[in-house]
Amino acid sequence: MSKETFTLPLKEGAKSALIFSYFKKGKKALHAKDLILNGAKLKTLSKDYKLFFAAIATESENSKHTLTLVNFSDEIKKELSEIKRTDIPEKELASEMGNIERLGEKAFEIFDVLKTLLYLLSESVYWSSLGLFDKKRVPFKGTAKQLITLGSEAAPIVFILVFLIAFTLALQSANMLNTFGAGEYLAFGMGFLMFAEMGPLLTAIILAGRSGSSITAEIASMAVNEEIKALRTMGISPIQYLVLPRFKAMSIGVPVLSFCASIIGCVAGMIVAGLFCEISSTTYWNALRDGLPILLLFKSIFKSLVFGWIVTLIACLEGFKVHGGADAVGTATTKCVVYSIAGIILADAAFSFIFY
Amino acid sequence: MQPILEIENLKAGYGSKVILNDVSFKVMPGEIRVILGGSGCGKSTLLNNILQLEKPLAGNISLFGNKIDARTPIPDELRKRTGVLFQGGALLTSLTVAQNAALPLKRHRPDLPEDIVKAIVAENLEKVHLLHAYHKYPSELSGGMRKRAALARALALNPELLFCDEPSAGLDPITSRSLDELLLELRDNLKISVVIVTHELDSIKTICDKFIFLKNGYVLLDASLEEGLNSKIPEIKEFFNRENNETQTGNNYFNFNFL
Repeated sequence: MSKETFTLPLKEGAKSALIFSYFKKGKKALHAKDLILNGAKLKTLSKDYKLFFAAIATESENSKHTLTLVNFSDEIKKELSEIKRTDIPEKELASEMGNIERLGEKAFEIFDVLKTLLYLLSESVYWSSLGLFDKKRVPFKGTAKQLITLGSEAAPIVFILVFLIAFTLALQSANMLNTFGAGEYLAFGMGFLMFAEMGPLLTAIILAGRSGSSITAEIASMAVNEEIKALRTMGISPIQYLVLPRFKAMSIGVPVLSFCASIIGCVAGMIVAGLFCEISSTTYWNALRDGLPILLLFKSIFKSLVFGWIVTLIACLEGFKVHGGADAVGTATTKCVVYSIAGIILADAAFSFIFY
Repeated sequence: MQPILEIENLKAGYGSKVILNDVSFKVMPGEIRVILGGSGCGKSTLLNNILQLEKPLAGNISLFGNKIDARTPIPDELRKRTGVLFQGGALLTSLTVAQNAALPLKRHRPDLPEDIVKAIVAENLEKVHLLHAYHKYPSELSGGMRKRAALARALALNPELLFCDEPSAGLDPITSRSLDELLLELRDNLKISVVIVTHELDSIKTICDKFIFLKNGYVLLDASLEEGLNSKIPEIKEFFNRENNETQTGNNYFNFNFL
């Protein structure tokens, strides 16, 4: 071990920038020589100083050189001995970054997430299509089970909520249309609204909260219990084993649910039309059939398919990202719902520009 | 004799943080090699790097005489010859014990008929004395049973090298002892080499042939158990003579050196 030393005197009341410069000097010194921290002028231990001592102690543990503290008062020695390893937020140890650098770091993080989502999407699409003929494919089952769990079991809540929302929308529209004597346009309005917008959007948002969160919670629990590591050590791709069945199930389930939800929304509109606009059900359905272009139905299905992918991939990614304990599962689930809804709304805005 | 596992100058860590530095050791056929060291010294990182769950920063890893490329997954033909027992068992909770134990076979031997798979699974469960739990789910098993079920899964492809991450952690002394005996039995009967990360002194004294002791990411000692027990190195001496596990293996607080 080297006999060379570097002594760093510490100032009382130092601000975080100065403390960080101590850390940088100390870290650099520990690479080459022993480090002595002189605490003769230190009277109190601020939060930043505690963080500094924890960080420099960690550095010294990872170095061949020793760290020695000299001239420290008994009170400070006592406080230092009470610093727990778990008290150190890892990111704060290197928080010398300014706002622009933080912004840059965030941008890179977002870029990384998008890259991973694209990777998950390409893998999922490949293994569900061309990959069926790939020799490396492992024929794991589970799509039907996932279709029941993520799709069928979500159907009642999706249908009830969509019916109620569509009923309210139709009621408010009927009042307005009746004022202008245009009640007969309710059918077309409801049809367009449900298939073009509300059906896919509401279904996807409800599924993000219900099925997306369940995907994240399940995968995150597996990550916490080292089950994903175990899969990888057995040579089983977590994408093929975990993502693929859910991706396939959501690719079938979300468009079907969305289509059914749109029809249910139209039924809600028909009830309102009958009650408040004196339009018979036959007239209502005829107006719907004549007014809605077939292309709209395809757009609606495509849109809901993309929404389903957004929910599934974000849910899986948030699950895979989990490290640590059970509390991380809750955080990941919350993130999944928030990011999925944000993703759905962004995609919806993009579709509005492209399609309409 | 060719080593089954050879680590040369391994450097590992996360980003700019280096956890392991210049780690080298060999595992010979039929040997039980224990990885020792205090909390946070890099034992699990070492295991994760060997298993390619994390990518090494530098150094070489050779499995069965074949150098592993850090950029690509371990080839199936080498992976098939290894088994892994994780700390908590890491059984898939949605599958039964038998389905868990059959997973490696489904992945690497999809050609095997179902009845052969069932027979192999039953044989492996018998080896770990857990045949009665064939249809049970992991949630219905005790900690020790879960680890034995995970061991049956690790044995599915008749591995030549078994990795165990703290197999005795969280087990009572009797269950822990029976797991040690099981590992010795597997080594003696099936000639499996074993790499174990553990803290448990009793376990180490029962099963260890050779060990490496890690400190601050470096190998402090690579020796046989006997050499370790007679070592004059303070950390090793302290480790083998400890009475209180927590104080010797590193705890949750920093240990500042005051003058």
